[in-house]
Amino acid sequence: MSSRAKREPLPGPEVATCRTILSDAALDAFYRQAFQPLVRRATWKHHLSKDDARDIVQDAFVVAIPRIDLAANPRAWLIQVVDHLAMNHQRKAFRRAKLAERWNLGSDRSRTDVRIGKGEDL
Amino acid sequence: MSSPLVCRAVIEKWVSATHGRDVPVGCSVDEAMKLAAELVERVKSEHFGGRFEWEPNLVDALLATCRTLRLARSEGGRNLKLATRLYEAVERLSWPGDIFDERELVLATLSFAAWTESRQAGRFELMRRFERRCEKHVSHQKTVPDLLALPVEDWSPPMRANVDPSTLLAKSLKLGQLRNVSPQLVARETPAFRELVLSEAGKSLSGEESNWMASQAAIVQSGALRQLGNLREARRWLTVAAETFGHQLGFRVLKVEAEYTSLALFFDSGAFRLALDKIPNLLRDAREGAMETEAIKIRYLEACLLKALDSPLAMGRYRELLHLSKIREDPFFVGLCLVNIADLSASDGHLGFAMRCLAEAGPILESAGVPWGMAHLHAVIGEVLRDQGHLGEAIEAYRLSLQTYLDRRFSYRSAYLRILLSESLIAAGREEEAVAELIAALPVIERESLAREGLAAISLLREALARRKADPEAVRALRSHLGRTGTGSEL
Repeated sequence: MSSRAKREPLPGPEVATCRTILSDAALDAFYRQAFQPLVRRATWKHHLSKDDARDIVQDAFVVAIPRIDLAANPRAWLIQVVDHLAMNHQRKAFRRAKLAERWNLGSDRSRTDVRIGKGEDL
Repeated sequence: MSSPLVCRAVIEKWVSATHGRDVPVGCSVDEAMKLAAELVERVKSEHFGGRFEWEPNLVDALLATCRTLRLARSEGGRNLKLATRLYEAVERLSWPGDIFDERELVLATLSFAAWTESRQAGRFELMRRFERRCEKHVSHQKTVPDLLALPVEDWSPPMRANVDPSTLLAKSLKLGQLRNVSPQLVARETPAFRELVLSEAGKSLSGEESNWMASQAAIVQSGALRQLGNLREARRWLTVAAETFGHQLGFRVLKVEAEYTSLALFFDSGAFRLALDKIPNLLRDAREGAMETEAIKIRYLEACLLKALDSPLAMGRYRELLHLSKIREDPFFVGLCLVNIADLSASDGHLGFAMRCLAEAGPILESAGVPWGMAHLHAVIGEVLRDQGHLGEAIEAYRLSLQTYLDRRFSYRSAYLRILLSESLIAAGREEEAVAELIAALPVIERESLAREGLAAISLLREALARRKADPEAVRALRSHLGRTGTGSEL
C-alpha cells in the first residue's frame, strides 16, 4: 500500500481513480458501497434475479477495475459495464430459452440442463 | 490504458479480496414485490402521513413498486393518486449514501408513471407538471450517459436498447423546449427521435405511449420547420403527426397542439381571416380539456391575427393576456405581449409609452432565454426609433436583430430584417449599404414561393440594383408583401 494512501482518509462516493481503489481499504470501502446499488440496478432495470444480478456485478467489477482510471466518472463507467453485461446475459438467456423450446427440452429442466445447450456460444 | 500485466495483477487482487465475501444484496425479487404490495396499501390508506421511514429494504420495495405500477397500467389500471402520493413521499425522503442517483431514478420513474396517468385521465396541466419533473430528475442522474445532451443519431445500439421511458419523455420535452431556441438542431434530431420511439428500441414504452411521443415529435418538428420558414414541410409534418393519433382521451392535448400549429401556419402564409375564424373552436376545445397553457398560446395567436388584420381589438387582447395569472409562468409570452403593445402604441403615435413597454420587455425576454424574442424586441425598437426619425439608432437596432436571426440561421426572418434595414439605410442616404443588404436578402426571398406581387417587387428591385441604386418604392412593396405573409411573425 502506498504511503499516500495511508495518509488519506478512506474514499467515499467520490472515489475517482484506479490508484485510489487499489489500496485494500479503499477497495473494500468502494466495493461495500457500490455493490448493493449495482445489484439493485441489474435486478430491477434488467429483470434479473438477485443471484444473477450479483454475478453480473461481480463480473462488472472485474471488467471495470483495470480501466476505471480512464473514465472521467468511475461510477458512470461501472453502471455502463453492469448494463452491458446484464443485457448480454438477458440476450443469452433468451437465446437459450428459444433453443430449449426448439429442442423440446421442456420447462422443468434445470438451469444446468439448459446450459448444456449453450453450444451456440462455442 | 494499463498494461496487460498490471491489469492481471489488479484483477487477481480484486478476486482474492472479494472471494467468499458475503456482501449483502438486499431482499429477493419476490420479497420486494410483497413489500411493494404492502407499501402500496399503506400509501393508498387514508392514514398515510405522506412520508416513508428509511429502512434497508426500502429501495428494493420502491423499485418493485415502480414495476407494479407499470404492470398495473399495462392491465388497464388507473393509479394517478397513488403515483402522485408515491412521488411526493419519495421527494421528501432523505436517502443516505445514494452514490448512484437511485433517488433521482425512482423519482423520474414515478414522474413518468404520473405523467401517463394524468394524461390518460385528461388532467393536462398536471401532465405538464410531471413532464417537467421527469426531465429534471433524468437530468440529475449523473451516473448514466447524458442522453438529453447527446443527439439521438449518436446514441449507440446499447444506449438505444437500454433507454428508460422516463429518459424518452425527458428527451421529447427537451426537443419541444428547444424548438424556439435552436430550430435547426431540433429539425435535424427530431425525425431520428420519432423513429426511435416507434422502433424496437422504443419497446420500453406501451403502444399508446410510443404513438403519443411519435405524434408529439412530429408536431415539434413542424414547429421547428415553421421557425426556419419551411412552411411546406411544416405542414407535411402535421399530417405525419395525425398518423399516430389515438382515439384515447390522452391524445386530446396533442390534437389541440397540432391544430394550433396549423393555424400558426395559416398566419405565416397570410391567411389571417381563415385562421381567426377557427380560433373560437380551438379555444373551446382547449378550455374544455382544461389546457390552460394551450389556451394562452391560442389567445396570443388570436391577438396577433387581429393585429395583422389591423383590428382595433388587438390592443385589448394583448392587455387581457397580460392580466392572466397563468401567463406569468411563461415570461416569454409576457415579453412578446409587451413588445406587441409597444408596436401598436408606436403606430398610434404614443412613442413614449411604446418605449416604456419595450424597456419593460427587454429583461423579461432576456430571462426567457429565447434568442429570437430579443431579435423581435430589437426589430420593434428599430421601428419605433425610425418613426421618431432617429435613423442611426434604428439602423443599429435592426442590425442587432438581424445578427441574432443570422446566428440562429433563421434565413427567412433575416431576409425580412434586411429589407427593413435597407429601408432605413436608404432614408439615411446610405445607398451602398442598402444595396448590399438587399442583394444578400434576394436569394432567400426567391427561394420561397412568393405570390405575384412579391415577385413583381423583386423584379423591380433587381432592375434597380442592376443600376446600383436601390428603388425605395420597390423596397417598400417587397416589405409590405413579406409583412403580409407573416415572415416577420413572432408566434
